[in-house]
Amino acid sequence: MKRWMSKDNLAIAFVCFVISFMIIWQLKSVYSNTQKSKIETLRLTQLQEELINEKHNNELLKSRIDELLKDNQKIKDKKSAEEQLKLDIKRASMIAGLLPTFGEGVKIVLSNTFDYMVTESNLLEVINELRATGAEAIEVNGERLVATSEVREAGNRIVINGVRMSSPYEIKAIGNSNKLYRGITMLGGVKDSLGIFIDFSIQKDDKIYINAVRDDGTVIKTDYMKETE
Amino acid sequence: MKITKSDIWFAVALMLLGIIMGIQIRSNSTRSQMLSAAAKQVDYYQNLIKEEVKKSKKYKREIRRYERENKELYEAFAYLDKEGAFSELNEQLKKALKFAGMNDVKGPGLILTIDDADIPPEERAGMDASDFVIHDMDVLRFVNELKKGGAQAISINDERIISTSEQVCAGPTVMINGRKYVTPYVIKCIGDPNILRQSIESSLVYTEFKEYGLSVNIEVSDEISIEGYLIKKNEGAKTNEKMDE
Repeated sequence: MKRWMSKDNLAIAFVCFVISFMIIWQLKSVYSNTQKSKIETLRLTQLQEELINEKHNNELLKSRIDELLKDNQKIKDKKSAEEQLKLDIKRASMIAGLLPTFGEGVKIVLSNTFDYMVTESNLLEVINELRATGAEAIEVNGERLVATSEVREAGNRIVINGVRMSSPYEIKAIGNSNKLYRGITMLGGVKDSLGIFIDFSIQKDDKIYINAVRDDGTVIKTDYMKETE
Repeated sequence: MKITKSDIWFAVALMLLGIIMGIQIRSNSTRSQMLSAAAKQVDYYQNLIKEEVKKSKKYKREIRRYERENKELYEAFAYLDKEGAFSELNEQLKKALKFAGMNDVKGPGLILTIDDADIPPEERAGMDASDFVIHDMDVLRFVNELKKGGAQAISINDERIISTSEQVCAGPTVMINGRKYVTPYVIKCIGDPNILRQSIESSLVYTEFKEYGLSVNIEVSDEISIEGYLIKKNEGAKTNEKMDE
């Protein structure tokens, strides 16, 4: 017993303790270092992407400035001013949804299944994905979506632009049909996640016709807004 | 002096200790070198981004100035051509711009500010962190609630929401009209303040935010100013040309 408790043995025990402590410390620090450098590389890629995005946006703004300057020259004389005015009306009306529109795009049909009903969020998600992939005009069961179009769940129906509709919901979108199709059907995308619950079909179409918004004061209201001068 | 077995053990142990300490120190110093190199790069990119953002603000001001100039020219022609075709067209343009969300407007309404939950890490230990941050779907649902409440103009962090505006997740940011925005999201809207407030307060997304401790703040105001959407070159023109075919 006394032999075991010798000074030497105690020293060895102590050193062993310190070594094991340091081995663990070393391993942990190597682990956290790799974690940290991973986060930094991620941050860098994010910043690089952000820079590319900002540059791209600025190019668009710059070309818009050039366009406006050209328009400005045209507006100097009355005849060409009228031409330009008509172009401006067309463009704003297009964005407002005041013009019927024709072009390539996709058709999507969502319908209730035996035990699951298409919800407000389901529709919002699909519409949002279409917008994100560059849809220029969208309608749901004949109702053109404008800046203020709501999607409201009311019992087992959905209300859009104040109009009640029920399953199946046919969503038509005009834009680059390949891009729109890929956005919706991408792996783990909207079709994958919603297709589990509801019937979800999509097809490309090069002849899609979309209605103009009803311009009778029931959909677009402007009574609370004043123009800022 | 006689070298005992334990002396050898002791020496070996010391050697190991030395090696490990050496490795540790070396790895620390390369790490700090690596860190500072990465930090420099982060700085470099952040500065470049800042410059681009500055430029974009300048460009936007210019666009608004030229747009105003063009509008004034139209007004002048319309004034000279009272009751004529030109003034009728000019009224059409004004209406279309208003409906499209392309002009600056003001009116009564509310400001909705939403942000991630401010909960210390120890309190949410073992829970899913993604429950406490704002997702694109949350922004989308709040905006939809405002539309249900009859909002006539909406902007998020001063980006006007139009018929084609997306709100999609892009890492820790939300992309709106092709531009990335970070929290807090300040959603301004014009309409009947009481109906808008009711619509938000009775919504599911509002209840969820309260439950998980995410921050929602509603501020009613008599005069909210919302800027118009700036269109990009050729936007809104493509499908039109096709229609004419």
